[in-house]
Amino acid sequence: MTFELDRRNLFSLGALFAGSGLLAACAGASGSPSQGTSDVNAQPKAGGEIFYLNAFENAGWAQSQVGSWHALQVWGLFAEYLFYANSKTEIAPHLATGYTHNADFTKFNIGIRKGVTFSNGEKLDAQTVALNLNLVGLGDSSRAIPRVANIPKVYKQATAVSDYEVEVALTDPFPAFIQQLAGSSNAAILAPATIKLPLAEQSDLKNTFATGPWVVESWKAGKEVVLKRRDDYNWPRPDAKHTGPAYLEKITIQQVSQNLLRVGALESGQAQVVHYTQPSAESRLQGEGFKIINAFASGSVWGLHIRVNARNTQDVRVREALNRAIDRQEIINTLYNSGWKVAQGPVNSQTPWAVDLTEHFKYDPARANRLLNEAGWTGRDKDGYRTKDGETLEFIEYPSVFITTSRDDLTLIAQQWKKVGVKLTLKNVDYDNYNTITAVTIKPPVPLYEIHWGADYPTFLWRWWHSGQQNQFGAPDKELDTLLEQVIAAKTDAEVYSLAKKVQQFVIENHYFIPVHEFPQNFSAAGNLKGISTDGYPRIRLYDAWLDA
Amino acid sequence: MVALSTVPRARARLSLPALTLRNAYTLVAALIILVVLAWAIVPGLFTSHSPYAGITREQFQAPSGAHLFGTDQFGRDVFARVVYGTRSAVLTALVAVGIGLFAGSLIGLVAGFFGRAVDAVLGRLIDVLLAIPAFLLAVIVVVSLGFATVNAAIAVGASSVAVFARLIRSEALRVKGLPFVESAYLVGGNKLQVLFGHVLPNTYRSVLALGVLQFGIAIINISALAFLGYGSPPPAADWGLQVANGKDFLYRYPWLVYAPGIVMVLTVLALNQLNKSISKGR
Repeated sequence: MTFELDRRNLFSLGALFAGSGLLAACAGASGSPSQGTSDVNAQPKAGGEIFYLNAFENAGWAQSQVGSWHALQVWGLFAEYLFYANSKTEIAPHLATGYTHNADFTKFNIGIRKGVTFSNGEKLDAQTVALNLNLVGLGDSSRAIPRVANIPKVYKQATAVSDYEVEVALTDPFPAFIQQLAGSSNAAILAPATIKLPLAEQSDLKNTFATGPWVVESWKAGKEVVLKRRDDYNWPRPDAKHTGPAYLEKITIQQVSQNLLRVGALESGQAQVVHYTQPSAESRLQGEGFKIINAFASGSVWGLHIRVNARNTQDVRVREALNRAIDRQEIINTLYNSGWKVAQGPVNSQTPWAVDLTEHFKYDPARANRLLNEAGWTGRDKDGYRTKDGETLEFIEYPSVFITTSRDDLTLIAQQWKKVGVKLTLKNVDYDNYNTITAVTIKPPVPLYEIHWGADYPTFLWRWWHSGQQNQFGAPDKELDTLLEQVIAAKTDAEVYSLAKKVQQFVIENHYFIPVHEFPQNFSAAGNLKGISTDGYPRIRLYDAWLDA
Repeated sequence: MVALSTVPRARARLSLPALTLRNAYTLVAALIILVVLAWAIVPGLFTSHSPYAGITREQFQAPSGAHLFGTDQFGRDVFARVVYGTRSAVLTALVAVGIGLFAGSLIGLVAGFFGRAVDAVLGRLIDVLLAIPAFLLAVIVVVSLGFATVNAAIAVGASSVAVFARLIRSEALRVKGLPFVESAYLVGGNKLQVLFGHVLPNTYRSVLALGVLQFGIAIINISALAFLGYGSPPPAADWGLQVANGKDFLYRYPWLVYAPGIVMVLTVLALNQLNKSISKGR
């Protein structure tokens, strides 16, 4: 019997290191395939295939599974919605023509666009839309299809009142119903042949028939989705720059989870678009002629919810100290670049109802230390962390599995908190278990929970923070609940926005939330891919995109 | 007289340069392992930098006198992280080998010594374990136990149980038929006394060699688990985690990957060389 490592394995080990270096060198060696003429003088050309690289790819594609930033980028290429948020984050109709409502906001009548067909030939009409809305609004327990959580529970029923008009009835007034519907990524309109299937069959993309400019040609679970152009497409959004079919003939979306490999594939011309470029690579790519798109979703801020029902989070002095001990500018300077911004509150500065609350959480380690002393955390353990009655002031966090920058953010925050004696312990969890282990109902509660979600309308704050909804702070606060109830009851945008500002102020003054930086959806694209844009969610828009030779 | 006269002639057949070279390899390997052990036991003697605290304005500094292996994206000293990471690598590998050694030895010893039905049952168990790729088994175990370095060590240890068991079983089969075992029974020894007093001690040499080899394999497997995110989360100073974190910057700042990677490779190669030397009795 021999105990030696196989010599070939040893050579392989060495080759692995040498090869990884070569790979990086090759990846960066050529930028030529991406170089193209400027968008200004060039005329769009139809045809061509592009490769879009995603950091994660779904294994199943039932509509309830497409809520992540990764999935909805893909989903949005072939599925369309009644309403959408344009690049100015304004709600506009797409498959709908508009809507009206009754005086007490319990009935909404939605006009449906004519001449639209699904990729299986079925026609879009009021009956189809009503079927879709009832499925997303009510779910179907007999097929284990959940209702879309963002649709208010006051949803009662949708009925077709004519061929192209649907009436949605609510049990109680909900003035922002259309805004809430428009902001729900799981509420695309699908063909009856798709939505009548059992859940398992809906997860299979070959059964997904939608109205978008591309259709699914093939897919491999967790690996690849291939889309081909739909030649009879002629109902683009009002903000599109052309009508008729899309220019690109084929889009292949592949999962490449390694950040370096996605960027390398783009640089070597093997891919034309990548999602989530590491911020450290952006300036290099820009210098090489690639396009960098940092699209800010309405509301989207990367920050931490403090679960007030968790250990050592009840004292507002401790919560404020956590907020004050974060040097946000250092995070931007160290991990990001000038395209990224420090957060000014729970929602980003592009949001129409944002309010600048920076003064309440400005970096102030001296104040953080004083607050922690006042809260009784005056002892120190052998590593310099604060203690009280023998207990170390420690908080546990599970870095998000959905975004690629979370670990670095939290590592630097741990470094900053250490300076005031607070211990931040990061724990790993896999993709499938992340939502379960960080759920607000889990016992014992996790003290910190990341957020990077978009909020298309202030009613999303109600969804996240009301104790009867997601209850992300973990403990009911009557004052906050009252404010949030006022938000959903308000009847005009001006009124809603004003109340939304009060909500943000309350949340920050009570330090329920730690805003860190604004969170854009980040894409890098080859220079010869013209006409690429994003909408207000933001989702990537390739309908007007074309390849310059 | 005949035996004594033949020994010097047999030694004379070995060429001096070959002998020196082989010993030199072993010496270098031993030195590397000594350094690694010293890093693990007293890391503070080798670096004044903290492996966790970084100075962000000093991020991505190339290797220099101030930072032997450069700095990472948080301005942390990579050499300090490699040195402090050694403790984690060595301790977890020890735990892994310990688990494999203890459980594997017990199963193999009992199977080989008692034979018949016991051997048949335990032999099939070993076969089943051997049929599952060790790394896959480690991933399954660590996913079940939760992501942490200790759990990764347990997982790697569990995946090596069958390897130890197979070896000990074959050694036990060989040793139990030797005359001194028979003599032990004749002087009144019972089965347990013979098993632990005579059979077990005579299987140690092979186990020691395998243990050294498995130590290297455990370092690779635990680092691989950490690389894939199944080990300690950041900011742990863990070799595999350092390679994983550095890979995003490989193009511009290759030392983030190469420094921990080369230390890992050298350690495993050194352990392999020691294994060879032990196996050949030098």
